[in-house]
Amino acid sequence: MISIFYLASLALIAIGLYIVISKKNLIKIIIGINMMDVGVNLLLISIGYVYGGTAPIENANYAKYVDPIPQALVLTAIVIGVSVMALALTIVIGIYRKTGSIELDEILEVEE
Amino acid sequence: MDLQTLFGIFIVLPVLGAFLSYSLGKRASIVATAFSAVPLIFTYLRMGDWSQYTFTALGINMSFELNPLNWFFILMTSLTSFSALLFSISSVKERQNGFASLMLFAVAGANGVLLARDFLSLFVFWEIMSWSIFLLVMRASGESARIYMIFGAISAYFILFGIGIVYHYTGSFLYSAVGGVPAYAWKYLLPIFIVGFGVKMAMMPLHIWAPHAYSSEQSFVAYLSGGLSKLGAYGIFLTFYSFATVGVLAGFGTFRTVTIPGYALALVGAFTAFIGTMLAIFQDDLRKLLAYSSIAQLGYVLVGFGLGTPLAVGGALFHAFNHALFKAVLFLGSAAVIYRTGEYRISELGGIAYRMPFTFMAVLISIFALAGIPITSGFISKWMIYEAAISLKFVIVTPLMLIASVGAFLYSFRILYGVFLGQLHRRHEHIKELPPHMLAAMYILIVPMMVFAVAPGLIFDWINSILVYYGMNGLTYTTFSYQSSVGGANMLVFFVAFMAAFMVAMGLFMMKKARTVDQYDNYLGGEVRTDVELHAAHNFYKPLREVWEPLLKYSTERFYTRVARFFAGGFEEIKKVYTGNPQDYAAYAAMAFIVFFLIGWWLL
Amino acid sequence: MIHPVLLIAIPLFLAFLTPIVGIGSKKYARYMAPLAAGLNTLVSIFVLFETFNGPVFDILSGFSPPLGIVLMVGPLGALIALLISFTSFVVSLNCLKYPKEPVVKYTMLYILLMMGATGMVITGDLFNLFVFMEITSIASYGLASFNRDKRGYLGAIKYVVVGSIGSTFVLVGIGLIYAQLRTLNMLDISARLSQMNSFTAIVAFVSLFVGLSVEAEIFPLNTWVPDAYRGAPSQISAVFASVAAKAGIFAIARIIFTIFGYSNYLWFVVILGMLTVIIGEFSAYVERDLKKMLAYSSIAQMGMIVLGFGIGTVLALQGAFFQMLSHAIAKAVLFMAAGYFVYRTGTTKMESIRGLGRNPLIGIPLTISVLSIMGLPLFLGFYGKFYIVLAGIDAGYYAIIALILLASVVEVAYYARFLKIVFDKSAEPKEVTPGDYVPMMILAVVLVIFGVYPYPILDVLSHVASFLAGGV
Repeated sequence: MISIFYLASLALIAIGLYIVISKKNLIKIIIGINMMDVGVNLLLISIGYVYGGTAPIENANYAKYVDPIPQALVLTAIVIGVSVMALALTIVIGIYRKTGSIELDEILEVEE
Repeated sequence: MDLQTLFGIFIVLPVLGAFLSYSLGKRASIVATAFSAVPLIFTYLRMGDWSQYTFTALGINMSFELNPLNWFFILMTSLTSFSALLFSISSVKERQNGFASLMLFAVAGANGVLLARDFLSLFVFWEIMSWSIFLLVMRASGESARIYMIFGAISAYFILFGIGIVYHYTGSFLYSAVGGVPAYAWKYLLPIFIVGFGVKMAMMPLHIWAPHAYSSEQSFVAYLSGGLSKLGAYGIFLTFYSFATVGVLAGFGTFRTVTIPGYALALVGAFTAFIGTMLAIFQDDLRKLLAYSSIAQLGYVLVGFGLGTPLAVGGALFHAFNHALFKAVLFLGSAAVIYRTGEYRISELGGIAYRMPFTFMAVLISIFALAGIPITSGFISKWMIYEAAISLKFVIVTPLMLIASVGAFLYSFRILYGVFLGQLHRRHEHIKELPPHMLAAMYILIVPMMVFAVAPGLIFDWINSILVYYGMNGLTYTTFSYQSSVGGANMLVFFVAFMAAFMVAMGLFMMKKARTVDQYDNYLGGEVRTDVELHAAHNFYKPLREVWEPLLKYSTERFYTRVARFFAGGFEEIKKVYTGNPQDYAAYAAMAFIVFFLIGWWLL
Repeated sequence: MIHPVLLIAIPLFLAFLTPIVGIGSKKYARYMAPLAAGLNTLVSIFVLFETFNGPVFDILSGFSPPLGIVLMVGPLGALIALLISFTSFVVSLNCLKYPKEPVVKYTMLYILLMMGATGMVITGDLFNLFVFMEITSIASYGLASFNRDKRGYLGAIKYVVVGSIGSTFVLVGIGLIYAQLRTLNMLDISARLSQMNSFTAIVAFVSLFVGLSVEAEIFPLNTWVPDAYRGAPSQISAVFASVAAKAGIFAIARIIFTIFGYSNYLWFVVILGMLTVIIGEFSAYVERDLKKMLAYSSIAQMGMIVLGFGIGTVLALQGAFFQMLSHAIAKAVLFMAAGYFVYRTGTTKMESIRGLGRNPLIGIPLTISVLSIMGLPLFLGFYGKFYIVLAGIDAGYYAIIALILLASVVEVAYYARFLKIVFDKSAEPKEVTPGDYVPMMILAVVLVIFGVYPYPILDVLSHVASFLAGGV
């Protein structure tokens, strides 16, 4: 059952990478990067997931907890991913201001 | 003598001198001369004080020794460095820029190379010497320095690779451990060391740095050509007669009792001598002429080392010593001409002898030695190598050397005629003789040259001790003569005969009824001629040049330029890996992951 | 006892103090970077001395390992931490001369970059490594585009794209390891590696290796380097080359030796190192842009380090560490010089810098660092190249070492050309201020001192054998 999550996360990473490689629009590229991040986060979460477990909060009613560490990791990773994305978007705004375009092939033509 | 003294005098002292002199500005050369005099005097006094030392550095034992061979070479290099620095007191006064300091670094490096008894120290000091030369050449021309440094790096990396091989097989850096290298590895090791050391002595076809580097500050070049290029000869001597044992060399096969590597070396040497001479003949640039001459002369040394008989090796060592002396004087002479006139093209000079007679005398004597004219020391050393080659009946090596010797006379005649004799240019009417210390710098080198010319037995003492130290038979000699299977030579007889002939010739010369005219005192039937064409040195050896023209178009330098351009084209292609497109880069990352993973899957 | 955590706490505190100082006075905010780097230098010296008695473990947040996060500093880690803080300190002195507006953010990012790099070196926890790597990366992305010109932005976006992919891979690797072993502590992973499914272990190893290669500038993940180095302010390029890259390569060394210990993967690392060196040197030879040339050269030097790690003998590793030190210091000098040239001429074209090095105050440190990079003795760079080449031949990589030496000849050729242009007599030198030459002089003196007297470094590097055997 959990392997579905694994496969989904791998698919997300692959799709994200494909977007980064193939799409010319910088915003789309950044969306691709973000999708890779999401995929990895999903992977981490599913690693820690215990089937039928609950949130790792101390409670006498439940015996099964999911592993709390991946959740902590994912929280950190999300923060990092968001900040990278914010920074990347800032850079894209800068590129747009300097070159008047966010299409990669147009930008690279005017680079030299 | 202990290690501290040896290390202190030969390495620490020059380095200290380098720092001290850098702070002195214009007077740097004076201090540097003093600092270079100490090792010279010390070397001379310590003859026969052979000993070995070891101390631990970098976790590896660094070993030094003083033996007849490196004593001989240190004497050579110290002499030239001292005289070059003495000369430079005036000649580079205004343009110091660290000249004297770098010279002293080169001295320290050279001394270290010579004293080293293990490869680690050899390499360290070799590179120190190399970068000091690089920076010294750079003072004159960045491009020359670049060419020098590329070849210097090739040389260093060949040596380093060789050291690596030795270390791989023996786990030690000591010279004495080289015996542990198995015979099959010598196939690689021998060419590697020959190329590595050969670059430094401008062996063909690795010589093209020399004309460039030798065009820099001439008083430094006197040391570079006279002293430092001998380190290549030292290295090749070590490779052949210390690292590779006779058995190893003979293992490659023999040709008329000469081992195949030795024969190959002799061939390379003969061609170096021949081609270097031919190129020297047509140079108009005095510095380049001397540079090619320098290349050619070291070719003789290679021949001598290659032939490997005691006579040949002794002759080669003697010739190396001679070359150090006379080539240093010639470069100092060139420095003197440039110092006084600012001109280095032969076609712009002439008649300098009337204004600078003492310089002329020094240059004249050196040229006699260079051309191998009897009663000079250069004659004896060349004659020894010829005799060795003749007695082995080598029909390629011997004629090439003999032609090169005639060629040497041709180009040295150009120096005499084009620069010192002939008509004095009007621009140079006012020039004066050199100051005494600069003349002294030249005559210091002339004196041993004269002494060894008349009494070669004195230097044979030293050479014999080297030959015996490396397990060869000694030479048969007396103070004034030596004997060989072909005949040998007695310098006293030569001296008397030559002096008699000289007197006759002088008498004829004195009876001349010639009139000295001005350069422009010519009748040309109304044709308008430029200054250059009127000059005696213009189109000198034109017929010879016409004969050679078809061959001169093959230039090693152009070949290297073409190779470099070819490689640069390839590098441009390689650089296209960096497309500048982040999407390509992302694709690289994905591919890298796949490839790395597949390799990992396969390996682990 | 000085806690290694100070190496992270001090800069972190000072970085976030900077805006507060900035409210009061923009002028004083600039001095926060040298202050933080200087304090870090002192602390890392103390830490270095402590590690001589054995690795130092600093347990954070009260949980004992393998549960809690631990800092783990061996002598080598401390040495690299010292290197990082020292070079950042000297370069930050140069930054004072060339302040970039807004100063507060610049200083903050600078301190964070140094902190992140230090953290990468001293951490003992895999996820913590990721966090520090991201801090370094984010600070680098920001600084790379700090010039706010087209080149800066374009360099930064390339860096962001490749860097993000790299960090994704790192996180995947961490996830896979955690999935199998339920631990993130490096030594714990290393000890229990045999419990791991070997296939997963390989995937995890490769993911981590690829991800960290981005920072460590290993081919083919180093593609962002030339553009980002050119676009960034020169002082920042210096920091990239001598701080961020060193942290990345040390992290890789830890992945290879401390955690996985895959000794039969090493020959592939040698091949990678060789490719990195060759492609870097060859590209630098034909490059006509000063800063890009230095960037390619930087790639090549990193390749030498990778090669040293790949050869994997004690001698080679010592060489690799020497190479790390010498490259960091020498390249910092060269980039600072490039900063001076750019400041004086306004362009990074090679032809425009003619004669600018003829002032000895710039020329001498420049020459020393070039000679050091060429690997000539009396300078620190000698030991790195010499040891690596020797170890390579000793290990039997003849052809690869021959290619490396060929590439080194190419390196000598283009650096000699660089010197030729810099010392060209046809142009007059320009005026130099202490802000330019003092930092360069300091680093050049370090190159010479340790080049002539390398024993202190050798003392530290005597611990290489235990590192190689999987120690800290």
